[in-house]
Amino acid sequence: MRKLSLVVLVLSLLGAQVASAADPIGYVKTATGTTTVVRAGATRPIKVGDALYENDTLKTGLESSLGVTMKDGTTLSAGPETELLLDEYAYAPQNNELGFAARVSQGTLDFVSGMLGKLAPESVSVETPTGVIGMRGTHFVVRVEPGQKFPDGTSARRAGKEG
Amino acid sequence: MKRTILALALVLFAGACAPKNYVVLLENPEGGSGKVLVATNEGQQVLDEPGTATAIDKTTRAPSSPWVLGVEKIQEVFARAFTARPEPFKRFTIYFVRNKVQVDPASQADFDQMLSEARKRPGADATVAGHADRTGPDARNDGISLLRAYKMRDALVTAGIPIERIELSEYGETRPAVPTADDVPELRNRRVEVTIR
Repeated sequence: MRKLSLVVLVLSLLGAQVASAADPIGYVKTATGTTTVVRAGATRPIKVGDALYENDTLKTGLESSLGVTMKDGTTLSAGPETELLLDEYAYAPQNNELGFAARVSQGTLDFVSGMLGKLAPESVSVETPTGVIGMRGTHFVVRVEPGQKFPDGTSARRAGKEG
Repeated sequence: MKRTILALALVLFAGACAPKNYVVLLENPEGGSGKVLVATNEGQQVLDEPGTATAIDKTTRAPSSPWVLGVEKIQEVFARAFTARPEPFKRFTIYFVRNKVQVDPASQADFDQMLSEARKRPGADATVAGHADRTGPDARNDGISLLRAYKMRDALVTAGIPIERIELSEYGETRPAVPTADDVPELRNRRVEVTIR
């Protein structure tokens, strides 16, 4: 039994490493038409089964759509000509690291919250150029007209966070 | 004159219904609904009635009072986003035979359902967490919980989920579903928890 606490300690140390920047935060589940991701300054096509990472910007073209599921089960699905930044994401309930901040700069988005919406709803937000959406375990849609800037002057991608 | 005013009112109403930016609260896919809070620099608005919307056209203006957008309009604007919505995640708890890396007969149906879920989902990914009950030494329980997790992972890989999309962890006897004294056999703790997304 004395060994138990050691095991717990080792596991929690391992757990603390889980949330490294290289870990996927979600995966693409549906994609039609033209779908791309902007990652580290480069734009590349993205398809069903591809992994997503913190700071990815997802884009859909004309007549296109994209659906993703995050680690906690939150689903986000975008209609045509949508731009969505997965700004910050943490889902490590053991370490109490929980949070999700996304930004929609244009288009249409359907959002169904997952475990984060249950465990830490106050840590989930979706930002638009003109307002911030917070939630209490919920399903909503948001529409944002193209061509608007965020109050900090950026479009979806935050200045200085790229690379 | 009355007709002109009515027509004008209708035009204004239609205009008010098509703001640049808006948020609509909807029913949860499993039924019921929560709330959304929408905030600008000038104030905030709570939506707690499914189907209602609030407009946020300027950071320097409070979100509008809620109004009903209408099912047809919602469908028209968000049809493609709705169609693209992924299936909700599913959770399975698979129980194991005492001291073995063998699925308990009681869990066979759930095990089969888990595999069929893995097969039918495009781009599926999974989380697999192995557990043991408190019989036997801790180190052995760490090992057996890991082997149980591997067994489920292998089954999911056979069902079509690429191994790199499966996150695996093992907890030995440290996270019982049902707390027991040491060395007590407990089926409900000899388990692997699987989430398929």
